[in-house]
Amino acid sequence: MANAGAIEIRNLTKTFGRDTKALNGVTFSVEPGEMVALIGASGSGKSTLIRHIAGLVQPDAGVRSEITVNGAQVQSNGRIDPHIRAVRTQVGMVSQQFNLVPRLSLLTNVCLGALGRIPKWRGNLALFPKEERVHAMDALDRVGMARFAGQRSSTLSGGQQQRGAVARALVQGAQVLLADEPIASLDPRSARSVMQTIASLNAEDGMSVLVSLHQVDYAVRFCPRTIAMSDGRIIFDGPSRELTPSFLQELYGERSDEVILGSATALDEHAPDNPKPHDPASPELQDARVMA
Amino acid sequence: MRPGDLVRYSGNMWKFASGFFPPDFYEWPTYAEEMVVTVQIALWGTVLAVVCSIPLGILCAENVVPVWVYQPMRRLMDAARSINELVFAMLFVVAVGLGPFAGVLALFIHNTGIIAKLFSEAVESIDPRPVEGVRATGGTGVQEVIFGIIPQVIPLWASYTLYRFETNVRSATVLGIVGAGGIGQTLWEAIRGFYYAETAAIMIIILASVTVIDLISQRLRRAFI
Repeated sequence: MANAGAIEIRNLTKTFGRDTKALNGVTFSVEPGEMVALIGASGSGKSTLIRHIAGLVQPDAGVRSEITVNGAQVQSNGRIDPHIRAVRTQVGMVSQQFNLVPRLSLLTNVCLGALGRIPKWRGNLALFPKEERVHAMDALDRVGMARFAGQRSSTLSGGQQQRGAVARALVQGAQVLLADEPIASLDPRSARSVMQTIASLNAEDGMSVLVSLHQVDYAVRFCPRTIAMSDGRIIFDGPSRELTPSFLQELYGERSDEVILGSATALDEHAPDNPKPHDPASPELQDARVMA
Repeated sequence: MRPGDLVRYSGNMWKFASGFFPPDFYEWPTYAEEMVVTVQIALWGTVLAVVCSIPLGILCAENVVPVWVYQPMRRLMDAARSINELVFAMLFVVAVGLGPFAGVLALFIHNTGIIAKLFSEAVESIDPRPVEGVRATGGTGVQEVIFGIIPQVIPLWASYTLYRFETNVRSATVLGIVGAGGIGQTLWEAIRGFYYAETAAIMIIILASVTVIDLISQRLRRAFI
């Protein structure tokens, strides 16, 4: 059956500049209810791929490619579908921090998930109907953030902001959740709590999840299936348990350190070499991650 | 340049300066009234300019609209900004007659050019990720601006607005010279009539008002950040 999957991608190609291929003929599909990890070193094309699925970037024109989400077309042959707004309401997006609006309260941020379904004038004036606000509070309760509802999201820690973004996806009623490095720059405890929240959406609500991760150990722990990327191509697509350090070495060669990085610490929060939680407010930390 | 004149005619200058003292506050109620009119000109000019600059500033920002929108908008704002408010005041005095309304219009046009540019620069320096977050929920373009952009730029916009208001109070004091109302008119009449003691009194009133307004706007600025 064609186009029945949660995410269907065929021959996706994206060139930046003259000949930097960020994505090179990427083809895969995610079945409804699957939880799939996307791993790869920085610059391997994970973020670019996720942004394409949300219809935020236009792929190369003149290449026969297609992306569909729940059977609805996001783009074909480099042209974004004119009904993309309707498609986006079905896709929840959690990016690497900073996806909440800092000066708005957490509750307002979560209510933004309803924008696609309430009348435009109500949305423009931020007059969210009562049932939507109740819905938003329920979602916040679900991710354990209800008591922070009135707080400005800039005052929340990185992990709390990420759980807020997950709540927004819940309010959206998204059937597909795209998470772009949701746990980068989080300390191990927050990272696990964010991953558990995402996993519970997958297990309890049947939400299909595609989550990009920098560290392979989280993929092994939370996602049955992993897609590994390198230089814009898929180099592995299969069960996560096959991703042993030696196999990763084989896949990535000397760059494997970057992917395996942190595997000793992520599962054990008391690991001696990473005892302090990172300061989630500091953006420099993201750049401080190992660069190739 | 003849710096020697400062020494040679120092006697004359001393005589000229001493004409200002003591300041003559006999007509202070008139001066105060005109000063209030001046502040009102500045306030109206600023408010009208800010109201128009919110949409115009967004239409000048290259991270929000395509090049064929922001380039013409920016050139339009350049035009409004490049002509001094005094020149606009002279034109509006002809168009709408002598008085404060001409001054308000002059400040309004000139300041729209300035404030729209400042606002658009604030918009161009925002973090794009929250905007993308709003877009990813299925929000419209207008909603991206309302929820993604405006909350991020409000502190900077408020600060720019207050700064322009302070500047406009100072500008409004000279608009009267070309007949656009306010204390400038009274000041110019005093200078032309060689009433230096009264000129001194008017200048002291302007100085005191500008200081008070600076103090108030500092307070307000703190409230927005």
